[in-house]
Amino acid sequence: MAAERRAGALATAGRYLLLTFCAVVVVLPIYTAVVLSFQPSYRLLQFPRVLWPSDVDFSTFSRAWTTGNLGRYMLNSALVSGIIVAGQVVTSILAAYAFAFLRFPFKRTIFVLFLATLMVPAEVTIVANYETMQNLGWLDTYQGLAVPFLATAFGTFLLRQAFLQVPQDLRDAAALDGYGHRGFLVGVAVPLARPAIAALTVFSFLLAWNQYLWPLLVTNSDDQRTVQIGLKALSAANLNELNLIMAGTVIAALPIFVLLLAFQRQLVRGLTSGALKG
Amino acid sequence: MTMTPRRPLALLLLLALLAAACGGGGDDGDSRAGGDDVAEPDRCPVDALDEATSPVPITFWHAMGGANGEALTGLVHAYNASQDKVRVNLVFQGTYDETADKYVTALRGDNLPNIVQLEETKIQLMMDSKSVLPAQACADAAEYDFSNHLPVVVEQFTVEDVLWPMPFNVSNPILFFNTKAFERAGLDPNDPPSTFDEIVEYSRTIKETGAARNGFAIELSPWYVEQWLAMAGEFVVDNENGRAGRAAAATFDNETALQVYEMLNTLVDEGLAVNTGRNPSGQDHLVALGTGDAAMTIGTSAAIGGILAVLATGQFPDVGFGAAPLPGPEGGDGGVLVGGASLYLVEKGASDAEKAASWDFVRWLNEPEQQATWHEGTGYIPIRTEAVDLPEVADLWERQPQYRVPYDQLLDRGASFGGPVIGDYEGFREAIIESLERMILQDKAPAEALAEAEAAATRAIEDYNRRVS
Repeated sequence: MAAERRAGALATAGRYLLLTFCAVVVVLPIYTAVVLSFQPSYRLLQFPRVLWPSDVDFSTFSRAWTTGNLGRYMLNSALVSGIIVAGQVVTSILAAYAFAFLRFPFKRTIFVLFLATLMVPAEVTIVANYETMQNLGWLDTYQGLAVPFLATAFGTFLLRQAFLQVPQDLRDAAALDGYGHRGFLVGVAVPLARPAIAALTVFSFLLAWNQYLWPLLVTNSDDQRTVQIGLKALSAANLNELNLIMAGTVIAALPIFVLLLAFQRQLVRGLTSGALKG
Repeated sequence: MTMTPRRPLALLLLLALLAAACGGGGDDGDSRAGGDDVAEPDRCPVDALDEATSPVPITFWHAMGGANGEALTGLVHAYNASQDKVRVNLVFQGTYDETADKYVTALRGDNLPNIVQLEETKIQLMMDSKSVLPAQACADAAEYDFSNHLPVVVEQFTVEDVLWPMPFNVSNPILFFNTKAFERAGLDPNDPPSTFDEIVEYSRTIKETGAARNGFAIELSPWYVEQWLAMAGEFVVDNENGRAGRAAAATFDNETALQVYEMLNTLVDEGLAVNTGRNPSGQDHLVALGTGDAAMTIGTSAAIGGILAVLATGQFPDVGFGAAPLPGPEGGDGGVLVGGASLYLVEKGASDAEKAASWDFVRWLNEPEQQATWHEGTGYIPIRTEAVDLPEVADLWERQPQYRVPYDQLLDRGASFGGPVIGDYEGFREAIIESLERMILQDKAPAEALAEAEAAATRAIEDYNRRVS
């Protein structure tokens, strides 16, 4: 018994060791970026490498803010990402509801076709999308930035899986209570799928916020451009401005950190939802 | 989203779109530039600006980030303030490659800029785009005099007697080394390595004496391979580097290139070098000199300003800034190529007034005063001798002699011919860089890696040519 308990404790210790190691590997680059972001540039070139802050210099943030034009760009990114998230959540809920609860001909085939769009790399659609935006006269506008991304097969798939877990009994009960499709969707299905919806929100915000190529292609004016383009302008910096890149990156990552913290609890539930049935 | 490899996108955008954009005018057979009258002065109405009653707005797409971007913004403000005929609207478009991608995408519609800044590797692409007004046409119409420009610079951007873009920001690769580490190793900082063998020898000494943790910092860039072949007087593609006719095949599998591959292989195999790989930041090899990871590296002269700014903090007592001409193959009769970017005037969709305004602006940027300001602000090489005669440049060179190394190198040992003109330059370079990676990371024999690189580069060239013709 004692030997067994000791073995168990050892296994736990080993597991923690492994987890600690993994956490360090994941966190170290982020930690370094944060530390370097308020160091004078020469510190980035010194050996041994900087692991803790010494000569604190917060002016890097204001310089990155102005050089990268981050104020306006972040505003644009927030607006565009907000529209994309809202669009994706709404379209995914509706499409997922149809695939989960409605009966119509060729349902499976249509669903597979839906999923097949996940296999098409973004590079393939980018030219066609560009032409569409051009024909609509939407180049260099917010709608040009957002509209091509308002629907997502991934979100539809994720939410369909969540909806499928709504027990049949609940559906019957709702029907008995006189709930139509709208009542059932708003009153039952969506609240039950909250973790999955939260996961989708964070995920699509992350993708929208980090978009680079599409905004670069369709925008020309500073009034419409997004934050990652500002970061790119910073990253072409000279040897003596490497800290600006770090500062800009930290600024641009902040909204994502905040969002992750806000949704953390939902998110963990969302990621494991569907892992176990029942 | 993680980084996706650039090739698929480059292929799609550059090849598919270009083929579509040029498909219409495919009646001029093998001619590369749309007929004999390509530089007809009539195409460039240089006087159209005189009739303009209000300032003509023009758009200028560029790829200058960071401090260089600020210097360019300064120049544009100065130009806009200096006259009331033209208003230049400056738009940053990412890296050189992204700017090119964006330009090719925009070719299909009416969203082209009036001027676009592209790297020297894009000449063929821009000729094929059939959207460019050759600077030659404007120069002829305005009877512009290039006799004061460095001949190698003009030659680099001239194909079959037509100057395509207007030169602007020029750089070339030089040797950067730490003079203090040289001293610690018992090497003479006034006698830096000038050949491949010397690079290896010096690296051994530096490593053995512990003057730095490695001798050399390697950046896996095809640019240097091209430069070294030019120094040996060799073309890297057929048809005289694609200048006597469209390049059809890569031709760099030769003795000089083998020496290059073997040198890099030796440096890595013997543990004499730190490998910074593709070095996407463009700074890692220079950072290695600051941290003491290496005592020598080669890189673009455009980095001089940044290095000086870092050293000016006084935090690097162990580093002395040495700059020297690019070491190269022994006994080569060629010289270094002109690197950097140039300014294309866009003809497609442009009015006469816009063309005249664009010409007026690029011409202004080429004036000695502007070239001097630009040199001071960025470290790019002045492209005219008159710019160098100005007191501000003389002062700068007096204070920071490193600045004159790339200029002297270009003047004294500029290549006897222009650099390669290749349609799919990105594919060509990717072939070289992948072969270097296979040699260094997977221990492929240098000769084998080189042969594969040439074959892959030829395939990229053929693929492009098939799509465009």
